[in-house]
Amino acid sequence: MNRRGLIALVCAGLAGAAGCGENFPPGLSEELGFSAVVFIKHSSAPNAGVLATPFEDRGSGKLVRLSPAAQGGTQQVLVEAEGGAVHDFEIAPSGDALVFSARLDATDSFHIYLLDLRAIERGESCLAGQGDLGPACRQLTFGPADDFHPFFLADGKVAFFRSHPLAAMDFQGRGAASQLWAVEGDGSGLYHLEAVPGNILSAAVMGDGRLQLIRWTVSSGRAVFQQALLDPPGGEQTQILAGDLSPIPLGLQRDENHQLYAACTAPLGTWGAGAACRLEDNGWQQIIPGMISGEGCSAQGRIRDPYPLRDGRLLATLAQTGQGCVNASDQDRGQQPDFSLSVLTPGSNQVLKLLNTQEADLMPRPIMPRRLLDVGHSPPMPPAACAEGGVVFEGWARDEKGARLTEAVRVRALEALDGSAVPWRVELGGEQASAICASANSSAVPVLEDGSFALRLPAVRPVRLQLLDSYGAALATDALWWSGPDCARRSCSGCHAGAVFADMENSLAHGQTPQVLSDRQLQRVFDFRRDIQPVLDRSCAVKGCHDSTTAAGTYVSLSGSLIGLDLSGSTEGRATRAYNQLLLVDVVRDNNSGRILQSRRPYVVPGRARESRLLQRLGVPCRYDCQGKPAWAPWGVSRPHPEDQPSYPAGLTNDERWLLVEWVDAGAPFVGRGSTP
Amino acid sequence: MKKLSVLLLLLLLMGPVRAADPLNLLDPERYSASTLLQAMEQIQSYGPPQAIEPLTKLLGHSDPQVARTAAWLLRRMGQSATATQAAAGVLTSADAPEQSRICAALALGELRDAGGVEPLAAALTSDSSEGVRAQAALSLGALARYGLSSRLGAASSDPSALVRTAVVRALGQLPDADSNAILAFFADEDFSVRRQAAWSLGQKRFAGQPAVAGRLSQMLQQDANCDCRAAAAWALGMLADPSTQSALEATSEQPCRRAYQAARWALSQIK
Repeated sequence: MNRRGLIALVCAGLAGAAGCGENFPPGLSEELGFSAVVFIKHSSAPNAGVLATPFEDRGSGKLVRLSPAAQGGTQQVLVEAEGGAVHDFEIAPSGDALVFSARLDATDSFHIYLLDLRAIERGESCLAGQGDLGPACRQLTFGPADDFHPFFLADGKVAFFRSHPLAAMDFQGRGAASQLWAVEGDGSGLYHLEAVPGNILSAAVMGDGRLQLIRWTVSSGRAVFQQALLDPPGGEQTQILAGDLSPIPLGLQRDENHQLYAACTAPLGTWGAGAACRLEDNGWQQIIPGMISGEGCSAQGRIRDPYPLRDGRLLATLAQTGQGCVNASDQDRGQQPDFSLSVLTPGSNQVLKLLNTQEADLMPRPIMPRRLLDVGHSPPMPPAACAEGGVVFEGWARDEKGARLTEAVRVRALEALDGSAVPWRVELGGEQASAICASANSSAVPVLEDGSFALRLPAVRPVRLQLLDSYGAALATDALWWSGPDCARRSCSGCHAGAVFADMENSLAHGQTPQVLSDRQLQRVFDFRRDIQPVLDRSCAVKGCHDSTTAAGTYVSLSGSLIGLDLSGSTEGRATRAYNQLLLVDVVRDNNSGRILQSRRPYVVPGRARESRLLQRLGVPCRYDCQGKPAWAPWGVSRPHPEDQPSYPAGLTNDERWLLVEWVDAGAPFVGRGSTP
Repeated sequence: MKKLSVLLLLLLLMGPVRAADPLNLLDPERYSASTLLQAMEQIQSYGPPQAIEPLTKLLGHSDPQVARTAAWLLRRMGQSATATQAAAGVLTSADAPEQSRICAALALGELRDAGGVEPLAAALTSDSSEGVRAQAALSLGALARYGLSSRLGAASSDPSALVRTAVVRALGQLPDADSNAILAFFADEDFSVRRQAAWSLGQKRFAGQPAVAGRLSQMLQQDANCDCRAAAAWALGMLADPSTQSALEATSEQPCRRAYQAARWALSQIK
């Protein structure tokens, strides 16, 4: 009897137990919102478990698209490197690109690449031969480090796990630790997102922009598998959610309702393959059984890479052997399990086979737009308050410790356009640049006498709230992204303490009609060349001052040299000379290790206008509620810029100063959409 | 009857206890690599002396992770010197299969004992398997001791590109690494060796050496292999030497897109 016959016989015997599979019904994928599936195909996979070890070489693998996502669909190879391998990937929230980890030859390191699916549609290729890339791909990381598991962060960056041969060993003193890094979507700005002693194993972006992590680390002198919550902008706020997981949830994925799914596996036994799990109030629970660990044999099969679909079913890889039995270590038993792309139903034995090729088809992911940021768990507004739709945000102007910020007079919303609209890029700001000057209050709502505020924003538009002082500069910026469906009401205490529902019943803001910030007012993209450089050209980069010839300036660098400031608009790299100068990071490194010993941003600290020397030197006039307040911001220096007084013909106008404040507080982007140098 | 019940109860209790004892699982004849790894992870928390003998036998296991984890555990238990002798015995044994010799060489690197230098250096120049020779080089690098450059240099003309790649990688890991020894591999005919040489030089400790920046700039502009050009650009970014800025800025998308993208990143490091 041939192998297929044997499988059929076993399936008949196991019908109703293991669920050997029905065919995937035509049209079902469209009902679920996708038309194609991308996956990694291995021609041979002797052991499904070990294949998923985050720092393990998985041998050859190629990136394949199945379109349409149905039995009989066409399999198109997107990336295949002769002698190399694709390790893993994630599809962009926009659905028109993906990031993947691959090495292009057998001795190469694993790097992160960005693949433009639209370019593939145009007939362009990812690889061009001779070790080079085609126009459809861009390499984001370089060097001898192995980079795995790329995924998109809420601010458009690409995070990944890095294992560097010359980096610190893990807490056990062996091998290189696997740590969390991130890079801009254009390959610039590589940085450490979080470095804990140990290995990061899995991560997923939650609806508020924070990361859920699974890592192997040390706690109380003991090695444990830990679940943690990380705030990616700084990484300084890590919250341990579970201290000693067993089994371990790997391959975290989030559904549209913010529930987390994973393959629950045993440590070291069946890495990445096991049962399908979901995070419930009482911890990780199996929702589809599978063989998690141990020797022996199970007819349930093993589940890898579960991905939640809209209707609650899971797209996954199901491993079964010809005997209808799967072992934790098939290699030892000489078995070659089938790895079928399947749709599984929690609470049911139903298995819909999407692709069954006798090969190892792993990590199926549907191509469909999705939202990275979407927070919406608060109770809806009462019907009377919901006539206008949108989301009401209300809260108190407090700092992260709950102390009242008495200087706060306005609240501004910074919006992140989600991936379905613009590729994974944070867009910050309030309204058009010209409108900022003419109508300064339109994107910021007042903080009331008791410190409360309320504003209404369009639904499902993730925003960060920023508390402003009388000079329009940010006192604090919320670390989290907020949003919600129509008629939701979000309330927070201080807006820096996570999803804490504040008592707003007795606040002044609660009793008033919230000020509305419209859709149009949120659609603001800063463009340095368009909005900022003309201001600098007129007032600063003039002959004898901050032009390229004079480059006047008195900044003494950390290494002791005098540095001039050239604010001219000549092109330099992908930005202008002025932008590169203003965003300069002055560093002192250890001569041997290269480790940064000291760093300073001498001119602009992105997101913090009050701490930026540029604005301290220029001075900022009062903008809101100015009665009884100093005419110029007291956080400026006592000796403002001598040539930039209001009496000076080319001096900055008040509107221009506020524009600079807003640009810096918005993160000092170059061009909002995807190309900050 | 009561005694029988007690006996049955004891058996019931002891059964799972015996099965769960990780010492009983350190049997490569009976248990798979994953079970051995799980057992060693449990043993590391208390390090019983009874584990030393079975762990030592695992130093020549055919699964690299098993051999490496056994070596790591023996090192934590203060057994590096004796375990090094055992692993060296496997490495130099004429009867040991190639895969076991590779794993023994890996274990010697993980043990970090000075006694591993001689058997590894001997294997590097005399073992018939390129896999063993390459692992011996990598393990010499993992030992990270002074004075090993010449031992590694003895294999710089090895006929296998795999071995030469391992040698130049290991040279970059030595605390007294000599940039000239690494630069010599820039003339290698195999691109993977030249690429690894560039990667090995991409460390801050080689910054400020004009010869290094110059040769990397030359590789960026002239190497026939696109990936080597990209590796050179990356290494220049790591060195962040302003004198190489013009070479990086001159890099264009043609003929090598990867080198151009790496050069853009390198420029961001310099600026």
